[in-house]
Amino acid sequence: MIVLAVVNQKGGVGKTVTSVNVAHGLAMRGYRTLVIDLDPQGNVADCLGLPAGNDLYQLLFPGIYAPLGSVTHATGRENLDIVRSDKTSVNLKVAIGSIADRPREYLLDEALQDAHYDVVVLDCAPSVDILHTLAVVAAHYLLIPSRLDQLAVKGVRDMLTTLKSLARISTCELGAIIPTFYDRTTKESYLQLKHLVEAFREYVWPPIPRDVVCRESTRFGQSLWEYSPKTRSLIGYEDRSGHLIGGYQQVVDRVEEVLIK
Amino acid sequence: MSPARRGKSQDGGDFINFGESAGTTDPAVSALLDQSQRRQSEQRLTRKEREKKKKERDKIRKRRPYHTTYDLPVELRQRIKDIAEQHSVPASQIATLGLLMLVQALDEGQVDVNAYKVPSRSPRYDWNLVLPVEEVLSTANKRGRRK
Repeated sequence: MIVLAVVNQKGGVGKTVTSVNVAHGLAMRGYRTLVIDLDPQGNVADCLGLPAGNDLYQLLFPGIYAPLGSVTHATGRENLDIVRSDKTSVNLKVAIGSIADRPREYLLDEALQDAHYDVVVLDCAPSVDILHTLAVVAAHYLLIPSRLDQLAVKGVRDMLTTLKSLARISTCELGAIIPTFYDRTTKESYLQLKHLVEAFREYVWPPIPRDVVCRESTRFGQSLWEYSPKTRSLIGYEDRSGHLIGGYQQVVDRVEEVLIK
Repeated sequence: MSPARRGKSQDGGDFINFGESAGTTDPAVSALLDQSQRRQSEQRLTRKEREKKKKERDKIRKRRPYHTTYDLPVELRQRIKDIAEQHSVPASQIATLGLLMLVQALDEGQVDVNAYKVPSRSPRYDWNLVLPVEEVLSTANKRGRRK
């Protein structure tokens, strides 16, 4: 099993869309996949057309610690389960913060010990809080979606600083930086991608093209694979030799390579 | 196993130190950046120049299915070039003729690939071929001189 945390301290960079579509993409390839929503906004359930729920609260609230099997829900899609979140996660953060009798940073890690999944995708909130720390401690790799603007690129740097500060208790590694909202017709996108590549080299994966279909699919409660399987944000751009570059398809390919290894 | 307890070094040695080079750029990202850069530079051209560029690109694209890249011994490449010049035909056609004859000879059992095989250490291939390049070329040269 590998655990992927989708994080960026900056909001609106495409974390939830990335989590949902990578998770569903892997599920469609036959990997048993669990997506855990760590954001009190509960948008993962929205994106999959499900009602919000307090599964995360049940899983991690001190004194409850419900077994993982009892809080996971089928999404109605083959191989894809979900642990939902809602506003109760705000109370959960306070409660976890006051735990004194055990190391609280390992709560999620311990909850995942008996998980029977090939992949677990953690969708984090755009903040630095205890749930964020739990995700970094539980994860093997970080996927950092980043919009191609100066503020989001700064968010990537901040995220890596956080990762480094948790090195004492976490062995999570940077998996990839996924540039999102890439628009190949604008010079700004090109310059920011270049800037990102110069700073982080091979960690920068091919970008996800800007695509209005992402917003539409969310509105209909469907993943991109269901709503529009040929859309640009999934299949990427075609280069001059006819190869496709970027898109969630390529992200799923690369995560699958790690799984096969 | 829990990633936090995998027994890996806890000194942060695995983490990227940004500012320090992490390695090479992802080839797909490089290709996309090159493409974008070309697109940006082409935007500065006049309409006529852009059309000319487009025609050139289309021409290259049309020829692409006929292109391939193989590693050949330098001597063999030179020999193919010499033969092509001698007969005043394109080298590609001489190479194609040679490959056609090889395919035919393989089908008829006149050439045995197994005779040249040695085990390979590559994870991708099981075998390598030890080719009698010098032997074949020197024989061919002698024949050529006799003529």
